[in-house]
Formats: sequence, C-alpha cells, structure tokens
Amino acid sequence: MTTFRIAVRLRAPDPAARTARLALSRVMPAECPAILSRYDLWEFDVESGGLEVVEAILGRYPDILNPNKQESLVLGGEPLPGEDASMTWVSVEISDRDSGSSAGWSSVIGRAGFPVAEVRCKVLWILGYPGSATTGEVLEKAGAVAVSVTRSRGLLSNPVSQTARIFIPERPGSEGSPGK
Amino acid sequence: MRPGVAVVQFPGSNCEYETALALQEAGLDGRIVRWNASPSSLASFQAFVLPGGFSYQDRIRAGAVAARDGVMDAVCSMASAGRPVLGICNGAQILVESGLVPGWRPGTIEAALASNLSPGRTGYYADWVFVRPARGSARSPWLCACDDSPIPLPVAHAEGRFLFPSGTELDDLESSGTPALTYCMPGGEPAVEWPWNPNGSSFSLAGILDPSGGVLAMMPHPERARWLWQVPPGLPGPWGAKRRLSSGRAAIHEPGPGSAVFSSLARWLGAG
Repeated sequence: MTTFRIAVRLRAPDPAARTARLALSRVMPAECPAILSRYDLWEFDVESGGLEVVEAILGRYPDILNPNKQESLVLGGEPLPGEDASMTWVSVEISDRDSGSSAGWSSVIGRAGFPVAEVRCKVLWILGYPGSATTGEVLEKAGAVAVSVTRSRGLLSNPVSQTARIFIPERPGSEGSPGK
Repeated sequence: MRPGVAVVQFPGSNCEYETALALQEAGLDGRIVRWNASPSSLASFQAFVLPGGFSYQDRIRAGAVAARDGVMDAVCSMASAGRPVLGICNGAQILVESGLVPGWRPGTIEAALASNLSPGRTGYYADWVFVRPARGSARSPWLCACDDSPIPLPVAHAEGRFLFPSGTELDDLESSGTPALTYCMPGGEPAVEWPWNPNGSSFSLAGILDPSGGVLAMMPHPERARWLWQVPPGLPGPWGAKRRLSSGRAAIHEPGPGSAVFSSLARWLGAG
C-alpha cells in the first residue's frame, strides 16, 4: 500500500484564502499571517500500482481536479510554489472526523474499479509569517488561527467536527520542526 | 402595529424573500436587513431570522465567515437579551459557528454541522423529510404552536449533520433542553437511517435550541413549506393526502406544514 498526497489549488487567487485572511485581519490581527494560501488535499491509499493510478483518477474526475481552473502537486517535502525563503511557513492540515466526503469518494472510486483502499479529503492551509518571527511564535499564532474556540478566536477548523495538524513543513536538507 | 422581524441577508443568502414573505403571512412585519446595516438599525426588531443560502460562498466552512461578521455582534447581543433568533439551514450553520447554539457555555463553539454522511453518497442532498418537535421544545417561541405530529419539510444541504463533543450523550442534550426537532418516519417513528435521517445527524437531530429556547437552529426549510401547494402530492401521510385533495381547489392556497414555525413566533409576540 502506498499513500499519495495530492494538493490541488486554483490557478487564480483562491477566494476562500482571501476571505479567510480578511476575516482574520479583522478578528485576530495579532495572529493573522502575512500570506495565506489554501489547497484541497487528497490522500489516496493505492493498493497496487503507483502514481499512474492517481493520475488516472485525476483525469477521470473533474470534481477532484478540473485542469481548466486548477493545478495539482504531488506532495513530497519540497517547498510549495510561492513559498518565499525569507518568510517562516507553517502548514495547517484540516481533517474531518467521520468525513462524509472521504467516505463518499472512497465509495465512488472503489466502485469504479480503481485499486484504492481509501480516499481522504482534507484541506491544507499554508500560513506565511515574516522571517523575523521564531518557530515557536509562528506555531503559537498558527495554532490560535487554526482552531475555532469562539467567534473571535480561531477560524480554520471547527474542533467538534475537525482536527487540525499544525507543523513546520520539512524541506529537503532540513530536519524539520515538530508541530503540535 | 405588527412586530418587526429582521431577516438578515448575507452575501450569498438566497432564501430571504420567501422567509420574509412567510413572516408577513403570519401577521409579522418581516423585513430584509443587509449584513452591513448599522447595528442601531437592528435594535427595533423583536426577532431575527438568518435565512438559508450560501453565505460567503461557504468559504472556509459553511457559516464560518458570516458568524464573524459585524452584524452577528448585534444578533448575539439581542439573543442574550432574550429576543428570539431562528437560523434556517445556512442560518443554522451560522448560529452553530457563532456559539449561540447549543449555548451551554454561551459564545463557545460546542457543536458542528458536518458534511452529510449517507451510504454511497457524497455532497449536496435535497428531498422532503419528516420532523417532530422534541419533548420540551414547546418552550421555544419558534415551536410553541406546533403539536407533536410529523411535519413534512424540505431539506437541501451538504453539511447538515449535527455533531457534539465526543462523549456527549442524548441525556446530556435533553437535560439542557437542546433537542428541538428530530427526523422521523412518515408515521412518526424515529428515523435512524438515510433517507429519513438525510445526513446521519447525531440522535437524528434536525434542529437544536439554546438553553432558553429562544435560539433555534434548524436544517429543514419551513419557508419552502409555507403553503399547501408547495407540498409534493405524492408525499405519504396526512399532509400529502390534504395536498392531493386540494388539487384544483382554493384550498391549495391554505397554510402548509412549515407555517407552524412562523405562526408560533406570531403567537409568542402577540400577533397571531
């Protein structure tokens, strides 16, 4: 079994990311990142075969990847496009508990005959803070932004139905930093 | 003078006109108020409705952005002062994301309306379902004129599954008066599975209340069942039979099953 992680983003600026940053700048200005980008994150547990299985799925279902308006990236540790080395970047990965979307897509793709045991639909947010901030500071700010506690604290996930994994992404040649 | 009820329109709301009309038909002064209205302009309203739709295009998470909108400061303030607030579908998602319901610790987000969970399906689902008022829900301004017979109403959503923190039991919800409406079979028996529980909602909940009963978040659309002509003739149960008998007659313009929500508020405010 091999798990492939595919990030899908709009070719145009992402309206959800712009709206999220606007909302955060109003309710949590101290924790609001300077740059915020958003990806649909798809995880495919492929039972037999390699990346070509995922490519076939992406080619068949425009609801996952519409090449007219979206592009996909196979995640493997390299920096995502647009990540400026002068900034400190934090990843926030949002997963639904008992995800109806994941269950639905697992069923649809399994019925279509693809050798995929499970599909998980997630959202990946990339938060960029000025490079002068320490790793601890950005992890703390990203943690506050990631989990909704009240109307004025947190935004990116609802802790009742979702989990948020917050981490400094590992890069080639670095050891990475532990998240929380 | 009819009591004023504000129907708060957000960018992306799409049920505000029929909701205001349903309020007017119930004898209330239902008025559409835009999200960027001044907070002082809201003070004169006796109650508030957050209508269905796709506020802010459901960006980030359904209801999450509207919940942080400035107009919700005023709505939360009015709710805490005891003025009734109803959220329908996307409006319910906004109330959950505002922490107004279940309201065990007011302002804290203690529930979610998660993506539908039904066998072999994903995404948006629209159909007619049946709901019953839960025990104790008659204390609510929005349900005080309802009896406990099954009420057919349409649902149309992708994220309508009520979830609570892990370990929450039905007893916990009942002791705080949280259940408002539950999905049921056409004969009134509890709905356990799809399609009668259309989204896999915890404890088959279709609507929840805050402890006071003044704030109701419900996923079905009562404004889309305001008149009998809106009921599908093929629907099982007494409402379907009534609808079939009314075909071609003036009776087809009589109130439908969803009118009880609006007439409840009218009665509560002394206008019904």
